[in-house]
Amino acid sequence: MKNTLRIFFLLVLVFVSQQMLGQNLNISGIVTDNQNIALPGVNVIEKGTSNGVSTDFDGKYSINVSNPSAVLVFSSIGFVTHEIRAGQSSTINVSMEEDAAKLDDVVVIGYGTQKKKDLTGSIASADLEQFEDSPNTNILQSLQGSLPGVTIGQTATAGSDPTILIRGKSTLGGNTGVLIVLDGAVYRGSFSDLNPSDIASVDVLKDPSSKAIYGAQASNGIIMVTSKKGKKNQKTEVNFATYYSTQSPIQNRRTLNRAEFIESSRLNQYTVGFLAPDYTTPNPDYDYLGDSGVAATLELQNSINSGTDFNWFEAGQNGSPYIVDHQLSVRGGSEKTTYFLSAGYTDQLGWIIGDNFNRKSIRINIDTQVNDWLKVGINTFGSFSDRSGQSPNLQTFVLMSPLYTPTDANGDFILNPSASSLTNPFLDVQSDDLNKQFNVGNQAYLSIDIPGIKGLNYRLNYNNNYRTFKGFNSNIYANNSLGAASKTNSSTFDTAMDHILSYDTYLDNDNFHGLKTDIIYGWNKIENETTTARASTFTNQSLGYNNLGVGLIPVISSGGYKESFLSTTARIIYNYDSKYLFTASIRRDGHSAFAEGNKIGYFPAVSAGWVLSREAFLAEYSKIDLLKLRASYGLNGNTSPRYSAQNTYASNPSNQYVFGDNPNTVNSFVLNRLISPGLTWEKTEGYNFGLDFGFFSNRITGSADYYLSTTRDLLFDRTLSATSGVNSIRVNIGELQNTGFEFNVNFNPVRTEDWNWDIGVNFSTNDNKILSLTGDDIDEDGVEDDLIQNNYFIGKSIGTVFTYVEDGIYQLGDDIPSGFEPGSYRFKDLDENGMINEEDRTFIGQREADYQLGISNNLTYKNFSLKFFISSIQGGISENDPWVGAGGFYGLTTYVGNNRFSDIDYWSPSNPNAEFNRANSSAGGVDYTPFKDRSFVRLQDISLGYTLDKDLVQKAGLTKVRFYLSGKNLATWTNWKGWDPETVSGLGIAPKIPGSQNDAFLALPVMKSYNLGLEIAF
Amino acid sequence: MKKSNYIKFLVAFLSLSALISCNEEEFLEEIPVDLYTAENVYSDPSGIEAVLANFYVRERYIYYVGASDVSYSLLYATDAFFSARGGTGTNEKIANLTSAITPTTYISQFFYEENFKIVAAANLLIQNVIESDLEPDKKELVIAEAKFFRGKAYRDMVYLYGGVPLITEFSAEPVYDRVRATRAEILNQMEIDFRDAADGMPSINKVNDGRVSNIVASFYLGETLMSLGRPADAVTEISKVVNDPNVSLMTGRFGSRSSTGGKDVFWDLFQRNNQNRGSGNREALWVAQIENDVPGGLLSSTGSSGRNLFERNCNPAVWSITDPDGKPGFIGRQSNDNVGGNGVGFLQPLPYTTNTVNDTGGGLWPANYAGDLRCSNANLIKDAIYDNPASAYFGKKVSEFRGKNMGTGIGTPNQVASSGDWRFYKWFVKSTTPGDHPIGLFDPNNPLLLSNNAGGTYHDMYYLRLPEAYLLRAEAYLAVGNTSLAAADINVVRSRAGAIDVAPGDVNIDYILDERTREINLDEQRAITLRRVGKYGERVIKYNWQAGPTYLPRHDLIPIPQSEIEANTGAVLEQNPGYN
Repeated sequence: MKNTLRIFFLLVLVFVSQQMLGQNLNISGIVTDNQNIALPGVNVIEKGTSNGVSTDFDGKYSINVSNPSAVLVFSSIGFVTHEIRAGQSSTINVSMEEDAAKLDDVVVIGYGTQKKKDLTGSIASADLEQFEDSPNTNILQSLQGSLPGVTIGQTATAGSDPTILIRGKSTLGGNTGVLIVLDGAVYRGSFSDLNPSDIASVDVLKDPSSKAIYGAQASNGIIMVTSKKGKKNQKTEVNFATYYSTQSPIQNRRTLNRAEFIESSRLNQYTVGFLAPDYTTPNPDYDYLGDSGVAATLELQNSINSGTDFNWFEAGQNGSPYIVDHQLSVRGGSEKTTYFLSAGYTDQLGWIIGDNFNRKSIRINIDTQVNDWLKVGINTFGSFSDRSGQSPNLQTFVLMSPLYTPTDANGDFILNPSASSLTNPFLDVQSDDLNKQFNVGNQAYLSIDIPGIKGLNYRLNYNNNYRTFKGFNSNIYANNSLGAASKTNSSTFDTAMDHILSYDTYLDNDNFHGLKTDIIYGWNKIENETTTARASTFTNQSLGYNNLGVGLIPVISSGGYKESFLSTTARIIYNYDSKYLFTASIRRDGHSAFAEGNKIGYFPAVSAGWVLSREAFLAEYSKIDLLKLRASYGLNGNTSPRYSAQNTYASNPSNQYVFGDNPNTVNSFVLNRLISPGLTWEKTEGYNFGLDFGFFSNRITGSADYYLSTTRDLLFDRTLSATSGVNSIRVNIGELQNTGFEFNVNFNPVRTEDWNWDIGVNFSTNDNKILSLTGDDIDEDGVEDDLIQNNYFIGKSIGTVFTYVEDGIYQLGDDIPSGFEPGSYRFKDLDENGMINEEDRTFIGQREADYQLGISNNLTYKNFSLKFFISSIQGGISENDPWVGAGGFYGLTTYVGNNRFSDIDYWSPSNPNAEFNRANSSAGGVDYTPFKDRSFVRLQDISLGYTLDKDLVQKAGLTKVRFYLSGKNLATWTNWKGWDPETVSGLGIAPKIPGSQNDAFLALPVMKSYNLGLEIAF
Repeated sequence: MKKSNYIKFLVAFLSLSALISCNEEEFLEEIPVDLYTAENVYSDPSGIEAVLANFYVRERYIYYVGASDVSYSLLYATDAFFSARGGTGTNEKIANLTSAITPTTYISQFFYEENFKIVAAANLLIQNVIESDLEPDKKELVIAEAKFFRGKAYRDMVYLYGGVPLITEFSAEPVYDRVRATRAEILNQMEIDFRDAADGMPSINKVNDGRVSNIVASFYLGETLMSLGRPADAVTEISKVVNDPNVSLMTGRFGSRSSTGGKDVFWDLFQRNNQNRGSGNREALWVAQIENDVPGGLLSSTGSSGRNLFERNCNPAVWSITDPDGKPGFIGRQSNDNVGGNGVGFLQPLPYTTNTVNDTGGGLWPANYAGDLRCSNANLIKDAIYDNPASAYFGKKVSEFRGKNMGTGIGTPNQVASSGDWRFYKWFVKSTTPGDHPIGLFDPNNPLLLSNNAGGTYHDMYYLRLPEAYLLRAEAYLAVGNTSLAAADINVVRSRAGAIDVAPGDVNIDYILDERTREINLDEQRAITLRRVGKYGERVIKYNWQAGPTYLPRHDLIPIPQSEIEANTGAVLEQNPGYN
């Protein structure tokens, strides 16, 4: 009976609406912003229908509606959506209010978009405007410090990608890279190939349910990058922007000059350089040459005696590093077609010589509505970057002492100027080096509104990305000056297709119960090939790498791989009046790298949101604009590198042999990987609880999130018994947990016609903890064993520091145990057994930070804008040993002969309270590195901008002219010593910090810069 | 929508659906396109040959390539050599046995891991070859060669570590519960493997240069039988080596530099290209193949990739000596007997190794170095002469005017060594090739001098040479109590060197060990030999002033690596006594 009634009413409704269709009421008007400027491109839609238009260049619109009770919805990105009942009036002018909180913003989620206010997950959207005046050659630099839960590292070389960590590290040996989705397609190229000026938005999917839509590759977080597009009915806008940035290291470090160097050598060998017993009175008989043993050759002796004072370190630097950037874009759109075209040019000169970056990029984005059911579009880009030039070995040019020069009297380079095995660092620079990367790609789509069923849409995404690398090098000094040259050519072709069938509808006629369902089927295939040809020993080197055939000793190698992914996904999004929100999804993923039978994984997720502020009981509180609770659950996967589960044989140059005295090389094969039959996905199961709020007309907005995620079946290279024939096998072990709290709030305390002031604060923490490892208890103490050799401890973070406890430095006259000496570190004998051994190690801290904090400020007064951003990471310790890389044993010279930085506070009898030990002092066989606090506060960005008066520029036929002056990394407050706390590059000169949580960090300075920019539009 | 639009739509939709369908299993199948897998390695004779060739790569790696010069740790801390620069902070250049040889140092790890890689590869090869469709006689050859290398790997391990896990079948699944076999069980398996290898491998005139042959297997079989306490059986096997008509001791000048004056046959044995049978050398039994600037040849003129750095390690840093005024005494790294190339003086012979019987403290050479080619001026360099014309000491002997940076040479051995004695000491010419460095090693700006990349030893290295077979049979005769036959074998070796015969009554194990130092020092892995005959502690204490005082009985064996014990989670892998 109930059903019959329902059908009856439905029929009546249909009948009535059919009747009403006959009526035709025309409404027109002008849409402006609150400064009375016409707004083109505003969507005007009759609510609940597909009937809609958008405003023209003058903000005018005209729409026919069915009846006076129709509701018109005016919406445009960046403005609060406005709803007005049509009534009997034929003219409706609307003034749109800018949406300070941007709650109506659309956020890019997996395979689609969603209004920010309807989100149930935790998605951070980058405020790209805040950083548009900064000299960022990489879009990630605009995210640095500004998004809670997202840690972006510093870069120290030109054109490099910073590291990204989202909500802590969740793997031991699996993939650690975030998944990048560019305009809807997985992008495996480098961020440095994307022109930051082409990017409209960057959204970071952080919570497990948002990520789960990318299933198997989701666990490290997902960065959704969307490129700029044209707008419908927009007149063509041409935009030209340029800036020049001059850079210098944030730390002014230098090496010792001649006098300091000789004095330092005396200090180092204080037993001969000074007089006993207190060794503070210089020994008048000290003879630097004779006592240090540095000058074994005649050339060296002559150089030293002639008073040479050469600054190697300075000679290895570019005097004035810079960035020059030009951008030109054209965007616009007609009723049916929109377009965005751009060309960009970036040229960067790094700090160390040979560190160059040049990028030329183009982009063409076009979308067109072919007919009423078909829409097609394509985003294409090309990025052509050039990093040609070889940098000298940084370590060596620090170590070279001021007493000799890189060239002889004739100006020829000396191969081993120190007469030790250290090669002249400037030989590398003499290379003819070419390093070019081309990256071209497209994301094409076709979208079909399936006829007959409103809201049913089929979309096909087809993505191609082709990346090539050319690395050519020839050096006449290499191979003992007989010359060496090489050419590497490599290319990667990445292709993917997604079929998306979606149905977007309301379950009822009052449009309360919104339902969107998606079914997605996709595949992704990556093919790579690499060829390297080398040759050495050239009779005549004038042809360089262009004719490797004339090199007498050729070596050729090549490689390649194929990798494939397959996925099927289903998702439903339910929305009751934007009050109750619910999303559920499941993805079935396949990846070729896992064992037979384990290639497929299932990744489900659910999430819900409750918008309290739309409930009647809160409606009376007008000060509350938004109050929303969110909760989500999801399962995310992480993949393993290729061939992890295969048994493969190594066959490479180190496995070649020659039988007999005739050069007749044979290849040999050796097993290097065992089959890992059970290898499967690493799975992260996570929960996220969040709160979004907006008060006082959205003058205070923000959100808070708490998350807990547990990763199981961690991918790990388990050390095998040597009897297996291979060193390790990749297996799934253990359990790891990440918990954290994130908070961000935006204030808009001043919002007048002339003044606007926005303040944003973000804060986040992450705690990482290993819950379980192998599950073994070999020592039978009833507690699962740690993996000490890997520095993994149950109950501690991945980056926990387990080492000795420093207890000052041994002084002259101390009772010094055997193996130690004055100037070496003293350690606490924790087990009090009278000797320092491995039992005296303990937990002294962790590498992970306690929290990170970002504060942004954006103040505008009339045509002026002042922005600044302060970034801080607090807590966490890292290795900082001034002697790391300072030279172990180089031929006949030791620390005495190697140069060092001038800012090291090291022990000598005249400096007994030094922070660091005496170089090369014996530490009784204790393997110890000092750890230091890496907390810092940094004024990361500051800019002052001025926009010329509109009236003025319009006379010149322009629409916008803007100047700005900005600074980056102008001030850093920290107790860390050395290059930079953020890159954890300390006083030492090691090219890589062993055991560091961060990937390879060159011991290079971070740059500060002053920039001048100009933007013109017409 | 118009009707024609419906049709267009339908066509579009259908053609798109066609794109969706694909075979999932096929799509996700992983095929390494640039790597070999079991499927394509064993299905082809060339693949099997390539697996065999890898044994030679690994064997060479263990003795001549090991990172951090770990290979030479079998020479340091013996009765013949010590660490001239006190170890300089590295464990591999053993100065102090107690700190250098522990369950966590690389030395214990290296020889265990590398030899077990050979065992695993041999087991895997044998298993796959049996299953392959190779012709039966070829199968037999492959299996014999694989068994030889398995036996050889266990041979190195049993003398260094004692009993280790005995594994004769490859396990595709990781095994976490290995336990140690006894020394006797390992030796028994070695006997089987070497016997099968000796029966199945071709004779030495039938194999390519560098390949092992039946008599190489017979040699190690004999050595194994000695360790099993069956010296009479050992004599039988070693006699097969000595009596093989295809081998004999070289007695006259031969090879690439036979016309160089003032040299002798012993010197010829260590010149470039003179080690393989192709050069006319008939006493080489098994030679590690080393070439310069040839892929797979180990050495390169750039000095960056290869190893075999005997010159660098064994030769003193003569080129760095300042004269007594503190001025450079030498013009640089010359490729001659006076300077010895680019030595840096790490592995110094002990006084006993280079001194004569009439020197203070004694030595193993005859008085005044007379009557033995092996200590002639061609083969053992005893002094250096200042060669820098700008020096006031030009033409004078370093032994008479020590350089300012060499110390006084007076004091305890430790004081002498640490004050710079490593810049000159007596050295064996076989560690380098004076006057015959490859052209790429010379400094292009100064063709008189070697570049800094020099330091390799640019000739092939002997794993086994016929004299060692005579000396091993002498050991066996001694063990059965026949000193006259023992003396006869030793005298074959001595008479070739022009040395006077030893009387049967003077033959004992220490004499044989001394004779080995005279004949095959730097060729043999001395630390293995001493442990094999059970004389390690005794002779290190007696002759090595540096490592001797740090010797403890536990050092008769090196420890099972701690990483191995920890990786073996399913059972307890016993540590050698004294290391816990």
